[in-house]
Amino acid sequence: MESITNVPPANVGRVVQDFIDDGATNVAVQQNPDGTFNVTRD
Amino acid sequence: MHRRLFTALAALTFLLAGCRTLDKRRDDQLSRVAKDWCLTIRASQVLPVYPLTEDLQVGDMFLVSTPIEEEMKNLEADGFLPLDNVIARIQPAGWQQFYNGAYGISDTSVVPRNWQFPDPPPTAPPLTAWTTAPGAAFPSYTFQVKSGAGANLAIPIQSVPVGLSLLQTGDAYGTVNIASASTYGLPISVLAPQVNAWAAENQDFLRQYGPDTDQRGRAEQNYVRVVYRVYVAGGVNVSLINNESRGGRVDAGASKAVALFDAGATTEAVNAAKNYESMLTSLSQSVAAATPSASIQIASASSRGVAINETFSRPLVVGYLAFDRPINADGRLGPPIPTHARVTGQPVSDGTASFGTDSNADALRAWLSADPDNRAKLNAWLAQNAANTSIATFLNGTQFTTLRAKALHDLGIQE
Repeated sequence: MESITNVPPANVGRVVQDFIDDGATNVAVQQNPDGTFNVTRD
Repeated sequence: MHRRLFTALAALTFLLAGCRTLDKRRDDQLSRVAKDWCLTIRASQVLPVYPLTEDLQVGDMFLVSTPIEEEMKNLEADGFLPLDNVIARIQPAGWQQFYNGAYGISDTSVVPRNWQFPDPPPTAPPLTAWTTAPGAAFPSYTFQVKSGAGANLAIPIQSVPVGLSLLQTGDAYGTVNIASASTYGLPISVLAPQVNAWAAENQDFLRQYGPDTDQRGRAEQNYVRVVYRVYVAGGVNVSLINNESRGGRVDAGASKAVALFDAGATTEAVNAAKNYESMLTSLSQSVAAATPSASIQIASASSRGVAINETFSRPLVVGYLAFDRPINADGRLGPPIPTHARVTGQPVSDGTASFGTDSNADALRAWLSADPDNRAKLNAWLAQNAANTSIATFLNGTQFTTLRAKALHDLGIQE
């Protein structure tokens, strides 16, 4: 499992795309209480 | 006159060269024995402490500014990592929950003080309560001492020179067992938030150690090393066998300056046992008088070998486990990476990275899109320079800001 934490909303799509380009097939996005997101790949 | 002066100078040079050779030989031997000791601890996947100390606790934090390649080299060369830049000691919470009230830990316990200085204080040895702490065990450690080095043995225990002295030899084969070992620690998930709280209060201090480049343009990444488990030993059991005896000498039991046990003409088993017991007591008392700073008990002795139990006056830390957290440019700490795995070159968990990207990341993305082969090139570069970090984490992790600039430079990518 690999995560990028505290990603601002405007950058979530870019991070997800980076994971996919890197070969990820399963990427999860979870919102934090402060409005940022954690993006995780299996 | 000139010839005499020349002869004197030549003799002096020869003498000095000889001294240097002896010094070097002794230094080599000292460092080898120190390294062997450390390798024993490392064989248990624990980082060794050298020299042994009581003053290392869970929650101790150190500044690590040595590049990982140098740390790996130091660990291979010396066997241990220097713990010289202590920056803080936090008093962690969460013990009672982690140990569920076992090992004498309650809500009010201050670990490890409750084992170091029990309340009420004992009036007789042992003066500590480490026997109630979680137990641990280490493999035994064998070593060999050649003549001339015995008195200067670098091993951090006193039994070895005492044993060599009793055997009247400088050529011996020995085994060390770490005795009465204990361990305690906290999981990273419990400790890391407490480290975060400390880091938030000391962000200005940490910011000055953020990523940088050295004079040659190489990336410099500093870390905070946090101790999350320590291993404590109450003593060591040492057995020494005289190599001169091992070599097949037939005069065993013959004249020795110290009268070690020889059954001699005694034929009755009861008398032999009594004599032996009496000899051990006498030897232990004699050694105790000669080495007041150590508690040394002779377990067995003969003209061929001696076994000694040494109890430290206070249990000492022999090893630890830690995790490293990169210091980011803003003074915040990155995700924890296990120290042992990192410095021994083992693959570390992908873990997490705090988001922080920049224009260099955009330049790398454009370069990756330009040619499918570039992805393999970047992965090869990451294997060399960033411990196999994935490209996605490398592009989006704030702790890789400096390394991204280096990647652009090394791979010849235009911004």
